[in-house]
Amino acid sequence: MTPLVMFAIAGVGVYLIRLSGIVLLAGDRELPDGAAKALRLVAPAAVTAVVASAVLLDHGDIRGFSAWHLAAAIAIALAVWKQHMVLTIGVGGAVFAALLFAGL
Amino acid sequence: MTVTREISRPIVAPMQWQQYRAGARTALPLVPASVVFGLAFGAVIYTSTVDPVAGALSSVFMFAGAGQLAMVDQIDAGSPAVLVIMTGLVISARYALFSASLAPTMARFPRRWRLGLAFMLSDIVSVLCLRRTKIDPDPVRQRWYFLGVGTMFAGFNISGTVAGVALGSVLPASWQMQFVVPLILIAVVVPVIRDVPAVVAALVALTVVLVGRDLPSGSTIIVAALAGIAAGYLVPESKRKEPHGPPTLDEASQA
Repeated sequence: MTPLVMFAIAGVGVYLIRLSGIVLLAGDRELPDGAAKALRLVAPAAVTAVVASAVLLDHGDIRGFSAWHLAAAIAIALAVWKQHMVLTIGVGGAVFAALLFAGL
Repeated sequence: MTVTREISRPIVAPMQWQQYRAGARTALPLVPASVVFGLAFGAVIYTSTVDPVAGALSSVFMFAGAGQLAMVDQIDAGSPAVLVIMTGLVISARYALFSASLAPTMARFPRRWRLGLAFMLSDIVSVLCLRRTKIDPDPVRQRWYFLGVGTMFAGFNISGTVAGVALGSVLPASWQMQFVVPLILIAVVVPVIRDVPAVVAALVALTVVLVGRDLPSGSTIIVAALAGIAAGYLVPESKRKEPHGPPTLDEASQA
């Protein structure tokens, strides 16, 4: 199977995943408090998992200390302090580039 | 019906168009990051065994950054097709939960809107739309706003990726542009980690990623996410921060 076919099949699957919650919870039914609370935790848990996997792991192994750790730590600190998306991305990217340039 | 000058398609009434533009404006600051992601993905494709056309089309088919990157990784590792596809789906499984989080809002949209908006759903888009839901309860204004956020973000993401693949050769792998993926997500997720259950959910998810890094192909992230949600769920919410929605983008920008 060529990569193109794999991407196409995965694309159909991903669309159905995106549609699933909207369809299954359609109708005017209110979410129970418990479900609402669990859903509010999806972004903190799922996105943190993706970030942790990208920054702390490298092809499944623990990443050795690098510009990734430092720049991510600075971006997180800045995001906590200022809560400003553009500033976080801009400064985080600049710090990462500077660290790479400095040879880290 | 009066139509303002800016409107190129008179089918769209001014109020809807205004909401569309408000949504697009909200997503606008993310465009540079989205384009950088495209360039990063292009650099990854260029150094992989995946041919550039397939790489560019993967964004059109999937629009699922982390899932696509993981699939390319698996293809390069020579994994069987079933495993490659499963990896993409497992990493994208979190969209089901984002989809569910928007369900109460989208339930009031016509079916064709639900079918169309579903394609554009991503971590970032759903967080931005949920913020809006809290400050504007009108379903018509909401869906035009969602459309603005979604088309802006998905449009630049997809075209950025296509451009990135085309330009892939100009960006050396040593630039490690993949860093932009966690960077964008940090900027988006930190502002929604505001109470104790959310902090616990994030810390548990992080720990499980490290402990469970040897779990079979790509399932680490979904296992970590579910563990984080379960742990945060067990933590009682503090009452003082009600209502504890994320800040509006205006609040966030002015902070």
